[in-house]
Amino acid sequence: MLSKVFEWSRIVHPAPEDDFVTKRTAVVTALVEAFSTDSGRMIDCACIAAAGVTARFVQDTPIISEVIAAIRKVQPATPEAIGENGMNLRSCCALVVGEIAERQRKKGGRSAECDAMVAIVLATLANRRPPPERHLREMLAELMEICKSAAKNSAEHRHQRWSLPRYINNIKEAADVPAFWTEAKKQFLHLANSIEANEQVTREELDTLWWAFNGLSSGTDTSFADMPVGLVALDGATDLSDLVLLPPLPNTPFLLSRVLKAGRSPKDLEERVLRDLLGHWDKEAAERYVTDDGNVAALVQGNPAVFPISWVCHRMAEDNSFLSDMKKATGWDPAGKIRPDRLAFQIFQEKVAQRLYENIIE
Amino acid sequence: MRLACSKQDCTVAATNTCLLLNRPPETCPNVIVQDNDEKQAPVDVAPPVESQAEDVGRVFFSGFELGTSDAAEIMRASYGTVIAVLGQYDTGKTCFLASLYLMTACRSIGDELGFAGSLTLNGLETRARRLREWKDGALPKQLADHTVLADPRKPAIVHLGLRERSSERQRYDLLITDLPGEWSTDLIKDAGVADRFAFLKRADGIVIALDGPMLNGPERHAAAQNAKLLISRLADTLNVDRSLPFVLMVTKADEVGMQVPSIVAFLEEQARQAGFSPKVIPVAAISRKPTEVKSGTGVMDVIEYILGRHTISSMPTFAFTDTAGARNFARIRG
Repeated sequence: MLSKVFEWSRIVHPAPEDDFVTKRTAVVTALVEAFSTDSGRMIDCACIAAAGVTARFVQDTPIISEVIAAIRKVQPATPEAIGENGMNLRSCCALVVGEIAERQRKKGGRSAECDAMVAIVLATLANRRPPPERHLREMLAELMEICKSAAKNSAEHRHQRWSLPRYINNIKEAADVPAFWTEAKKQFLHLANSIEANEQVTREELDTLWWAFNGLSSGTDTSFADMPVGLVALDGATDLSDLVLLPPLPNTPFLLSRVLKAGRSPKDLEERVLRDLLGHWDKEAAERYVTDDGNVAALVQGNPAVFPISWVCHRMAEDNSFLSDMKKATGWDPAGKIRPDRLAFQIFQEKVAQRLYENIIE
Repeated sequence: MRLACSKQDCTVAATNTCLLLNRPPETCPNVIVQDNDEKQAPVDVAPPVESQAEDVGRVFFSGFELGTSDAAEIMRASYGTVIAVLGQYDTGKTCFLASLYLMTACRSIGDELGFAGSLTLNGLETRARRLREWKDGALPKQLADHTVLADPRKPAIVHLGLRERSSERQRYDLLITDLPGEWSTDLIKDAGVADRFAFLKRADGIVIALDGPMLNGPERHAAAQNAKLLISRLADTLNVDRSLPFVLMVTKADEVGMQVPSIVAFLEEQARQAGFSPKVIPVAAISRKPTEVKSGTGVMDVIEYILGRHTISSMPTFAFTDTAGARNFARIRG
């Protein structure tokens, strides 16, 4: 996010001067050019920006060596060691992610890679208590807003209804049938695709609203009203994330609030200890959540800070305990308090990010 | 044989001493060895020194204090908590630092935090040295030397690393400014010196040192007026972030029975009107009545208030988002 180079550079320098800002801008510009066409780098950048340099990133990890090399190219006095560049890497990656998201937002339309990248950031930050460090907190809040805006634009583009008559109007008269058909076929294909896209938008609306109206878990065929609230958060968010078109409209998660509320007293929906809500889950519930895709599973298990609840489900599905090291691994304190609907939103956001990632890997 | 270096700041060509202290300098990976007959390759040699730069002396990192660029070395690795300690001459700013250092050295900063390194041990030790010069069993009248900056245009910063003793082992790198009182006095008198305080934009907390006995004595009104002007400068001229932890540190509080002088309430109100949320903390950094008030009383209260370790932050709000188009499906609310 080039407009924020000065502010976000203050994370790593108490009073950055013009020369520092100019050099950092050059670094970010170069990295954006290099990473915009590389989905793997974009995902790694998003993970580092949102969660910091976690254990899966080591000195030889390509993203680490490339970002440090880019910084050293203009600031040779920067050390090479990853241990001496933790915050440097994070602020640089945040600038790169913010700039890519901002450029896509201004360009309009959709980019599958950018959608996955911003979804990773939102899954990490949207429902997490911000860090106590003031300037880091501010940077992450601003990054989240940029990503929300990019996600919203992309979702609106995906969910728009295409006007159909123009394709017919675009077909011109031609002197002979082959010439006519060459042009007409193109327009008919566009028309068919637009009909299909419009149909998908309508189908999503019907499917999600009927699902919410029925109030039944697709996994267990049990009424949500009869399930413990923690389990409703898991099953409900999983069901909804499978029904929505990607990327989902920003207000779609509020359907989860309605599902949670149905047949329940307000007291059930108050803040409670996360550990208690997770206690409503069992191995079968976790197995329903966990994906079969090996790439997604690797992403989840390599980035517990990005996918804290998915990490818990993977642990549960493998019959491993998770409470004792959950805080250290994910940054989420099981003794902390959370409302059931926020837990549902988090699960939904993680599932959406994983589905978007799966799409770009395919 | 002549030596040159690809690192911009290295003067091995002139001094034959490697910036990275490689001995002999020819073993440095960045060195460029040239025969006397060869012409210099301009790309690999440090760029010519500009005439403006010739006037600036080369500053080596001494371990006494950090400049802003030195502090960046720490901040690059992990988050640095910048604490700006401001106040007029002889209000106890340096004593506060010395007390913090000595308490840390004696493991007297509480059970939750422990020492985790410092890049300015020499500087902290020098500040504390005068406290050990007793005469006839009594503390000297002036407990710390007058602060003099190596570069008068840039703030001096001392570094103290602390780490939690709990299983989380969270680390805090404190970067605390030690400014001469003249800086604050100059700011009060002349808004034009505000440029020096650019680092305040990065501060994580501001501490205004107020001389407790002076605020109780005959000169209290003048002292309070100066403090009020300082607060105004911070708010109006420097436009410091109003949400920053803002401490009114009443120093030498042992000499006033650990009671906050009544005039401080006026300053607290001034700070509130300026938009800050001030916290008044009486501090006895070096107590002259140790049997009544222990040395270091209040010092860690200031640090803990700024760190806010036990504050639980709120989750980001999940609010309804206005979307384009008229579809009701896009406007679901909880």
